[in-house]
Amino acid sequence: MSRSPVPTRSVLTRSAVVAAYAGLAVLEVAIAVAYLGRGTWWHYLLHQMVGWGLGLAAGGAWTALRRGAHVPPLAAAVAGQLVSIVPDLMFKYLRMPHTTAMDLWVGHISLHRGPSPVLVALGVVLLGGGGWLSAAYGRRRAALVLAAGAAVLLAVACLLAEAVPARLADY
Amino acid sequence: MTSRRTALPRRGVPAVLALLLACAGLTAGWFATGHASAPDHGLLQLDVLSLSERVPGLQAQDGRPTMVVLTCPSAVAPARTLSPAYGFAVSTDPDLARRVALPGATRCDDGYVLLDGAGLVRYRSYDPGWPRHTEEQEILLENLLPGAHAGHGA
Repeated sequence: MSRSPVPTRSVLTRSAVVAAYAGLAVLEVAIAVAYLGRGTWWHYLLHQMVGWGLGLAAGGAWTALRRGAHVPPLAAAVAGQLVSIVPDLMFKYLRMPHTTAMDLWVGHISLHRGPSPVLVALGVVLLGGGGWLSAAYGRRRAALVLAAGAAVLLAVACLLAEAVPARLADY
Repeated sequence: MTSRRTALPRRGVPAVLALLLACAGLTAGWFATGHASAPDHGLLQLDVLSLSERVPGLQAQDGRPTMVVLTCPSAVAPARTLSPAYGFAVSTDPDLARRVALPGATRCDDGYVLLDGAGLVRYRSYDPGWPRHTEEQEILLENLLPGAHAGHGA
């Protein structure tokens, strides 16, 4: 009597994966709605793209440096996204206004005041995503260059940013 | 000859490509809808209490942190949405709008300033949707109360 093949994944595991994806989708929608509700769509665009980009860049660099340690891209992107929006979470849940020191959270303030913020954010996510993809295809050097490029682009944009006005005459 | 490349699971490749495509689409949408540059030079609703300046014509109401909306004379009278714990006023004075660096208010691009209890301007921003953003304004005003931990934001 032949036995049927043993399934590689149990129903429980599959359910957990589906639940994780559903939770991720809910989280993403909730974040987008929260920004939209405050009329801060522009801030959403900047911080999510930068966060996703740096998360993917870090994941790609890690994979390249560890020679095959696979970093799931969605986990990397969401981790970066959460780091990027920490000041906004502090604003909402700890009721803390933003301060220029919050640049520690991947340029959260200076990003707005630098050159072409939306294009910089797009550049970061394209470079970071390219880094992760390169690592996935075993292109270690390209992965490291692209990942570093994402970080350098953001750093340069923040260094070129104008200061937040301290006087009305500065506007 | 052995390859230096390491085979990795590529399950995530479609997801990454989809994410990058979505980002490109969002950016294109941003520019297509007329937001070709950062609004107000990146200062729209930045939520940094970076100012500390007295402006003639602006006073805190009853020594409380106060929000003053700058708008145009033809605008529908805006309703107060703020907690009564804070002062609230509306101005259509174009000179005042210029003094607080919100000249667009005269063209009905609404903005507002936040004053601390001493009457110093601590924050200014354009925000056409300000009646719907009470939580944001109250968080900032709360931090202008005496003894608030983050009253000196910048």
